[in-house]
Amino acid sequence: MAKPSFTVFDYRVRPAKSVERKMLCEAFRRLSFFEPVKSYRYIGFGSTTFTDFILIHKALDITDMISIEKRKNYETRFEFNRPFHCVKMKYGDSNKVLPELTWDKRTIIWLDFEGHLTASELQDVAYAAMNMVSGSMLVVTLNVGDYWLSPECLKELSRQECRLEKLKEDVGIEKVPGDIEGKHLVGGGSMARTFRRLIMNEIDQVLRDRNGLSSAEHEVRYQPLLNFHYSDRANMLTVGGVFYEERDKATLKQCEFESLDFVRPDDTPYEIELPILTPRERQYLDKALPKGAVKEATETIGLTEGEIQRYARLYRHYPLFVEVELS
Amino acid sequence: MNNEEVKDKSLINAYPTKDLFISILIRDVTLRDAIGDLLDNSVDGALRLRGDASYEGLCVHIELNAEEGFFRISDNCGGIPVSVARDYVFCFGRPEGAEETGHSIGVFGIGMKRALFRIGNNFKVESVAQDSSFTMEVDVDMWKQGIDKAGDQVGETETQADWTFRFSDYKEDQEEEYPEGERGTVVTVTNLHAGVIEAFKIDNDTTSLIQELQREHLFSINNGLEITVNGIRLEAPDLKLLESDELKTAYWEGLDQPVEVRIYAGISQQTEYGTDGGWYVFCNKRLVLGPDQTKRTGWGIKTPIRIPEYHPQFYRFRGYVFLDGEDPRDLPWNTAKTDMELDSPVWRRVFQQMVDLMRSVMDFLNKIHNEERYYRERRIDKTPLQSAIDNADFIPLAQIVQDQIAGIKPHTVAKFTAPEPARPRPSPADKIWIRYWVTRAEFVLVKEYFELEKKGEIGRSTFDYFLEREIKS
Repeated sequence: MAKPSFTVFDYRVRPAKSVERKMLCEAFRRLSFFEPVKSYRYIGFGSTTFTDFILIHKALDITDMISIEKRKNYETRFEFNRPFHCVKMKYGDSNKVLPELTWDKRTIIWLDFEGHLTASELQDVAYAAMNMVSGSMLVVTLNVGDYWLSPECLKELSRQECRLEKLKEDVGIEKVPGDIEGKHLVGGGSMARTFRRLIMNEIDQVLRDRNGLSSAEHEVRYQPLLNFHYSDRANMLTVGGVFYEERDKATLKQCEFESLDFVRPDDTPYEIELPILTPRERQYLDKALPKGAVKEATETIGLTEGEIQRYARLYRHYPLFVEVELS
Repeated sequence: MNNEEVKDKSLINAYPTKDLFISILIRDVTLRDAIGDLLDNSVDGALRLRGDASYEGLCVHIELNAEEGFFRISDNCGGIPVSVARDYVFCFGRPEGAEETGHSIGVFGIGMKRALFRIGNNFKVESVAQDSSFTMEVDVDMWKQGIDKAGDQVGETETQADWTFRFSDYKEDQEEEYPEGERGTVVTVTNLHAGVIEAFKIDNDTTSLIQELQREHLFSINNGLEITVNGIRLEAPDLKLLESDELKTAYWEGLDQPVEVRIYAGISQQTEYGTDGGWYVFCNKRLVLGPDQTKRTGWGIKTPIRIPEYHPQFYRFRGYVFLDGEDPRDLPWNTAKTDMELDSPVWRRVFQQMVDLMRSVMDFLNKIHNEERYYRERRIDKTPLQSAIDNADFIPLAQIVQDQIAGIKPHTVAKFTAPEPARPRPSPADKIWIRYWVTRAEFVLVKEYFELEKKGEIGRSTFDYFLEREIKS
């Protein structure tokens, strides 16, 4: 078995991930028009660091928190690292744990997967779509790095064909639309677009079934909001959105998600790209933000206009990593 | 044809003959289906009369008499009001805007006529309802030719066939109501078609008819309805679910739509084996599907929840789905009432909830399985799950449903709940597990020596034997 990633590298020093987390948190906050966010439930994969749990508890005061953890053999470590009493551990595969939970309250769930999209990830998406009550938010993160293609396959087929075979094998042939080709599965943006589409397809299908008995005003819809592409080591995709009943449409509107600059309700991605800056450079730039004095800054510190603009988009979320000696 | 009328030569007469109509109507209808349709009508009466309460005291008797050449079905289930007979029961197809007949099984406005045409040439329907009664006799051959009872040709032409039936006798809006005990319907068919008498003579046909009818009307029989075929009372296995404060049947309901849905999923008796596990789907209390152990009720599906294929380990699983609709056309069943319409929105939604509830019962059954194993391995001292089963009661499904609807002991929407299982101690580290292969022939010799059945015990005995004789002594 492969080593779990938390033993390989520390999640906290992934700057794009860190930015993503803060943006998600900002989006979650907007849900308060449905109900004060502090009374929501948060479900995530806390691992040993519980970084998302710490942020969300501190920023949003959510106290009903469930961390799903499949690696039960590390139980002692998870229990030891559990940051707050209100974080409850549920051991087992998310496929198994999700159906064991109750779904009668508003929930924010972040399925922060490490791998590519497979039938198992789709199953969790389907289960969430089937159960989440109006005003709940689903977020899914997936690896969209290039596939590792088996030498056996490459012996017989081209790389493009092997990619398609791999997807069919992973998610099941019945989930792969006929117009998907290998070129839609090249690691990075292409694969991200395909994965997003498959997730949307799954949600559409489940909601169609879910609404079979519902009156028009109780029909559940999905409003996609998030479409992050980023890369710390591997290329990653994060998609997310809100489930709402037709009668709550006005409430959804009140949340004004579209006013958040990183919200992307359609297929266009929001790329999280962090320019690498020194603390001194950041302090200098911060002083001029949010208005910004790009021209002057390029001259003074020698950064390109692009770098400065990218920083200006993210500066509120830009993490600061420092070495600290804890005694 | 009126000879004086000038025939319009551009006109094509596409008017159907009654003969053609009847032959199309009864094509593909088996005798079993025909009898089933008539029984459905009687059971509809019981449902209208009692709703969700017990059917105790109501009965339907079916007679298949080959010797005297008649078929009869009689019930005391409320009778058919004259107005309903006139505007609905004997009309072909359901008139647009016809009044709702209330929760019923008869759907498409053809069941009873189709059945009668299928069985014989002459039928007689006598019915006594609350404040009306009627008798109607039809000779189908005469009716086809447009000859009325007196033997006169009714003014029937190629384009103006007489599509009416006539009550031979009827009373309507009676001041004094008929006593409840007298209300009911008797349908007698004589001059049976070829094949029908033959079928009535075949004992095996009657046996399978009885078995199919008792399966379809499982719930009504459970609920106290007496149905007999040639004096043999139909029996249905008791549908029961284990219930206690600790063990709660999973439940889901959707009640705000034309089709009301109630789903129960739980476990049944331990002593039963084999074939009764699975899902039972009832439409207006008539069994349409089940016990079902296939993909159509979720076994072996992958999304949105993974459910294993049906397996003997799950023989205790029982799922009951009740779909009830004022207008039976809203229900997601096929015209033959033998299957669900898998594409219908209602069924899709119901299916989602079925598999969700089912998963929680599977989890419990798996936990029971593990508990047995851990206990055998002495890794737990208590068996809380088995104890919960031992302490639970078997509650008849009919009672659960009645209590639910009457609000006496309602289930709330929840998955299957059970106590927490005991946590097993880790397998002791100072023990090791030995596995090895032997030939079958050698094994049989050793097995006979020890007179034991289980391979594990036999292997253990050989080890003990060596230990006792060679090491310890």
